[in-house]
Amino acid sequence: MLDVAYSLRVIRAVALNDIRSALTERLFTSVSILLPLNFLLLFLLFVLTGGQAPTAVVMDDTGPYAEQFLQALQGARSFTIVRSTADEAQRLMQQGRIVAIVTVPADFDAALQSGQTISLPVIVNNLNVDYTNDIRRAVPLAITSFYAHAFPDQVVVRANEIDVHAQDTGYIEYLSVSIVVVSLLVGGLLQAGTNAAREYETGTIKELLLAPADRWAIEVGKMLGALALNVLSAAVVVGVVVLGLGVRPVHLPEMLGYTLLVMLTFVSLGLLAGTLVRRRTAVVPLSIALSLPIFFISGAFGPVQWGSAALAFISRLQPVYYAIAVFQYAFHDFETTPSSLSLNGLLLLTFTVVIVVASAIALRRRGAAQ
Amino acid sequence: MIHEIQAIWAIVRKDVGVWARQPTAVAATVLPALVLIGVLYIGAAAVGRNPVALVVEDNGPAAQQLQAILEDSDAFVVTLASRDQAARMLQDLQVAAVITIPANFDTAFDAHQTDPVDIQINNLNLDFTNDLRRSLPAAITDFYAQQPDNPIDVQVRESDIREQDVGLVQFDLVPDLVLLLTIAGVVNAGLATAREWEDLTIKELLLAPIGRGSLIVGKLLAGWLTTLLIAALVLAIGALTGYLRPVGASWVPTLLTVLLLALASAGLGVAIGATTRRFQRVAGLSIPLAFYLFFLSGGISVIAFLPDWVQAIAQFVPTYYGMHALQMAVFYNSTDDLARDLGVLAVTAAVTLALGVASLRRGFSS
Repeated sequence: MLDVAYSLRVIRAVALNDIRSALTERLFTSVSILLPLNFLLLFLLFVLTGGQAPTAVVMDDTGPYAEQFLQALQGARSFTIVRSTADEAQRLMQQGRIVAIVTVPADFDAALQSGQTISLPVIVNNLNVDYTNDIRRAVPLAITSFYAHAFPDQVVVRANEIDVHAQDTGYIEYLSVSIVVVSLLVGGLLQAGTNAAREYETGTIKELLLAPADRWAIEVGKMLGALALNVLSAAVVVGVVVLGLGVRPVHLPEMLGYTLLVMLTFVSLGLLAGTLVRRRTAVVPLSIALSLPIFFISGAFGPVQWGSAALAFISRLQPVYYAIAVFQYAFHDFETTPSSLSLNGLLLLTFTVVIVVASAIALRRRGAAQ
Repeated sequence: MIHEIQAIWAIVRKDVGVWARQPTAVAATVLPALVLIGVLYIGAAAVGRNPVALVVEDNGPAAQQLQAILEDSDAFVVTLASRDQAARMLQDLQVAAVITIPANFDTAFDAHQTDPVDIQINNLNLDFTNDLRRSLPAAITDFYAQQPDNPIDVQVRESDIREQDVGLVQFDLVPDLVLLLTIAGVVNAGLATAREWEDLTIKELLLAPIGRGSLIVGKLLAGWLTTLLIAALVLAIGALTGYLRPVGASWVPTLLTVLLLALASAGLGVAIGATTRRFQRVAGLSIPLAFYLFFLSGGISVIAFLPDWVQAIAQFVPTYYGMHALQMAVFYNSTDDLARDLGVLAVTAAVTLALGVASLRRGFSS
């Protein structure tokens, strides 16, 4: 009983010490609290275009069919259309401000009425294959849609869409939830990593290791200290997503529970990184910069199974993949992994335990070396 | 003069030596960008191709023709399946959609009756959903194009600006190089400068009979050299693999841009290091700053496609000009606005140098 009470005192002392130490470095602590929010804002810049390719449409014919075709282009959910003259379109293309120029020729209506073939010039800036492919697919889509409306008897084969979910989810709504996870990752790695590394840099690790305290108690204390600091940044990020962007969680209690679980996982990861690297100057760049590639491979943009098999395999080996899955469920009621929700939660818990064990082992070995 | 050059050289040798002896510091600056490049390389193969299950319930010639078009389409990775198998695959997230060619497809087509091809989409994300929405009608258009009595008279005449499409990996390597140069320059030079205060060696340096300008120039050159070492590695790999290979004379603006971008980044690092004087502050400020510069230069998007207010901000971001110059040289084989871009980078380097000297003056007085 006494041992438990003593361990609890150790945990409390270590946690409070870490919080106080962090608060003395005000600039760094402020940056680490606001940094996850920065990640959110910067990534949202990426989706401001909504994946739509800016395209100039030159209308050399303004007849009813030509206008109907323009409407089909606008309804193709692929273009941000700029209606312009030929010269203006060329200028925009030279400035790299548009991906394509579609020219509706002067005889568009007349040729359609007389059944003649119409050549539709499409100039493509084939610089970014993502946009280029969108153009190559969306222009035929617009043509088929145009025919389906203008000449329903001639074009009878149509795509009949059936959606799995009652409503489409916008790119910002989907991605912002994934960004919450990467923000928690950055916050957890930074706080816990620097707390752990600080002990080595300042030499106070000797006192900690020589103290008659259980290594586990030290680890748990450090985790709680980092967790307390991380709560601030998590609250800011989740607050902006929920209140600022209006992305409301479908399952609120689960969202709160998963936030805590995911924060624990990432804080333990930070603790391990700090114990292994032992230098804040290395922990900080690694924490921030490695988060970006991890974010890309973890299904932030959609289920990883729909992409490369190699990436899908790699992504399953790390916790961010599962964290994104449980958050997408909590916010949108989506299943984004083949594994069940409860298994995802269990795996996150397992990751946390394994990482804490690894940290304790690393601390013991480092301690012996020290 | 010779005395000053010797002092600068000594500072450069010392800083580069310290950097090389810290593998974690080297890894921290190089690893993230290299990992990012690796991730992009693996991921690029799947971009734009969505996995779909195809259920073909009609054996008629028209149905077979549409099936062949769908299987050959570069928009889909097709798996043939029965109706039940396809439903399971959609449920298990093995596919993003199920396309069904119905049993009466040929009959309806021959009779000129409405002939729907079902596409059931897991519409959890508009990016994937819109890709799928575009791709099936595109395949139907191809199907009609193969018909002897094609009723669609509007034919797309595509002309591309460049002979070959630029792949996603190739396109993303330029922003990655800029990110690498910025992080390496800002972090390495910043930490090397702050180290003098952390280790209190700044006293010796400031009391030494050399100009403060020489001290800052030494720091700047050391940061520049370490950044260029990393840049050389990426450029060599890019050129050997063919992913980043400017054509002919375009190597000149490419190398000039890399040199100036590395100099400006190192200058920024020195200024931050001399102003903040602590590792923690350097790390806390410089890395987020590098990421801001990366994103605001169009790092993961095309800046010209973003809203006007973002483009207006980008005009004040030095790396935007570096990114522009590199893209022009590598992708367009052009020197359009090169003087402007290089000028901005040179001025940035000069301003950061002045800031570093000014910060040292403050250090001397305190």
